[in-house]
Amino acid sequence: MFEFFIGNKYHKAKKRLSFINVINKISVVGIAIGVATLIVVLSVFNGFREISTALMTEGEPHLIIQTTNDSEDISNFLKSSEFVDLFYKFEEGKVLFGNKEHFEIINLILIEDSIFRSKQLIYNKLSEYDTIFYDGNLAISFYSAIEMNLQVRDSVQITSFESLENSVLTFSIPEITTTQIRNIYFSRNASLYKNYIFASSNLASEIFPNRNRNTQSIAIFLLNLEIANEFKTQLSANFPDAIVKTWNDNHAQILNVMKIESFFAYLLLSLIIAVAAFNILTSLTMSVQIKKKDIAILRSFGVSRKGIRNIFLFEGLLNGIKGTSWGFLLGLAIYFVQKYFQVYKLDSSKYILDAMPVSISFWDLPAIVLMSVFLSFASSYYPAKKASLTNIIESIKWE
Amino acid sequence: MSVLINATQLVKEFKSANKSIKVLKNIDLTINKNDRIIIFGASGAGKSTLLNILSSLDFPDSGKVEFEGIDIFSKTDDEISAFRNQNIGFIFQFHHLLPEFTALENVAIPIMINGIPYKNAVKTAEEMLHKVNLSDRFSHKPAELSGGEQQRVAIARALINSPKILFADEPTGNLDSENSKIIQDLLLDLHNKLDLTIVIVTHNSELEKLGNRILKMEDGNIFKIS
Ligand SMILES: Nc1ncnc2c1ncn2[C@@H]1O[C@H](COP(=O)(O)OP(=O)(O)O)[C@@H](O)[C@H]1O
Ligand SMILES: [Mg+2]
Repeated sequence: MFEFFIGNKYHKAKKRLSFINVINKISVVGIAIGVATLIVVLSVFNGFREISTALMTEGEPHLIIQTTNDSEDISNFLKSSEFVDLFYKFEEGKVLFGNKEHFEIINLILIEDSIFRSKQLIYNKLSEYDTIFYDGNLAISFYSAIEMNLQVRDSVQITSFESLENSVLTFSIPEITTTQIRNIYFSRNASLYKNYIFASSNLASEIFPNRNRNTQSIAIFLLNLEIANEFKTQLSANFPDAIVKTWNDNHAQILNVMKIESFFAYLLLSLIIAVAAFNILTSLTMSVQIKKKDIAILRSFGVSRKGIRNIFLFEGLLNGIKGTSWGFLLGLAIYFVQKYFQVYKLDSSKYILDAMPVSISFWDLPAIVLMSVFLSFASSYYPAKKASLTNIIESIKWE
Repeated sequence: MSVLINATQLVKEFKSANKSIKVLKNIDLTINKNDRIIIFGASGAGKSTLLNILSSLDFPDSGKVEFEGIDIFSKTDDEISAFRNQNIGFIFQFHHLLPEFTALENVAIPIMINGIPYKNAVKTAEEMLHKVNLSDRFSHKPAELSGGEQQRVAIARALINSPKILFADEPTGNLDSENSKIIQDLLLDLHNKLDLTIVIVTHNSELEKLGNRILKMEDGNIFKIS
């Protein structure tokens, strides 16, 4: 490829004209800084996103499927699926919960008794630090325990909103269920931690006596959270009458906000590269100007307009590729240093993390490289096109 | 004797702010294969303009140039570029070598345009530099060569693609008489060895002995002298 041969020579041989050379260096360094910054900033965004997603979803089912039909088929399907870690039937409702001194309004989730007793749920999905467990009926968070001054084996009363409503309408005394706290759990998922308590489904008919139980809900935990959406598709295909929701349907808004945030960071930081790449336009325009005679000579022995354009595109792109490569290496170096040596610490009294989290999302890298090469290409194109339109006769006439 | 180039009714006019000069006034010219045509004429007579049009570097205002029967101005830029690369060699008054490249690379570039890889192209270029007696100047940059050497590199570059015709615009215009003599002998030698058609425009009357046809340009017209 003779265009590359010549473009590369021009790219290297600028020492004679130091001004062009300086602008070139600025463009290379600028692009490198832009690319490195993009890699680092996006990996920080991504790191925070992963952490907050993990916290937001800790203990929450990956999918929930609701059906008005017999749920036996679904259970069998889930039992035989290799992707499913755990699933259980559950019911949910708002309740008034407390003892004589304290009470609060909270969401109660009633979980299939065998699962609730198996401790799987409490140990694996909710609690990191739980040590106390008795067979029993009710689990509350450490947060609620402190708020309401409760401990294991304390008796508490639970009254559902449904039966409160019913008692108002029928002038009767509301159903009050008395049970014992059997477990206190910890969770970093703020929503589960503050707004929920869990109990065995044995209490269902007592707490929600008038409930119509035609609709069944099943919570599913997968072995791998990433495939939630594909699994949803699979479930919907097999059980078209059922309603399936994934964890990210429930958090769609916040997840979107985070995605949009990183996308705008990407666009904004690309401006650094764009400004740096603009220097390519300047230096290349000058380079074309002083090479008018060369261009005419090359044209005279058979280089086409396209060939001339390509020579200067290569010359400009080489700056872009050089800057992109340096920036790429620099960005990755910073990323790995932070990841493995945690150079940039966070104030652990304010954050639950002790260092800035970084995580590279695979597709960010090609997006950054392509953006950088595209911007270099765009700033090379105009001068290269201009070079290709050089008038042969005018430029060849004089020494 | 077969016709290589047939130019008919070439007109070229340069218009500036308030006057216009007709540099070529309906010029007809036929160039046969193996011709050695020398075109004399005073400075400003239009010699370069004619040469540039015959060689497809410039366009006439009207008229036609046929190369082996094909109208060269009907071609697209890609076609005409490939055509120049394959069929036409140039030598200018100034050597016009590319300053960043060595003598060898300068000679090699025209065949690299043709798609020949660097290594092979350089090999062919070495042979070509032998032919112009510059075997010991391969890696010199143009600035490190004498005027005569530069012009010999330019000749090697012009001929490396084995063109059918060589156009030379004042090839000795910038040289002392000794170097001028070397170039003349070289051109004659190459003409015989390479079966080449040559068109030279000059105001140096020494070059007359190179030609089999001698023409003269004056006032936008062309005349046969011998
Ligand atoms: N681009 C141009 N614009 C205006 N006048 C031109 C241009 N090129 C050549 N001329 C004029 O045309 C005439 C012939 O030029 P040229 O062909 O270079 O002559 P020669 O090569 O015989 O010295 C000259 O008078 C020159 O000034
Ligand atoms: Mg001239």
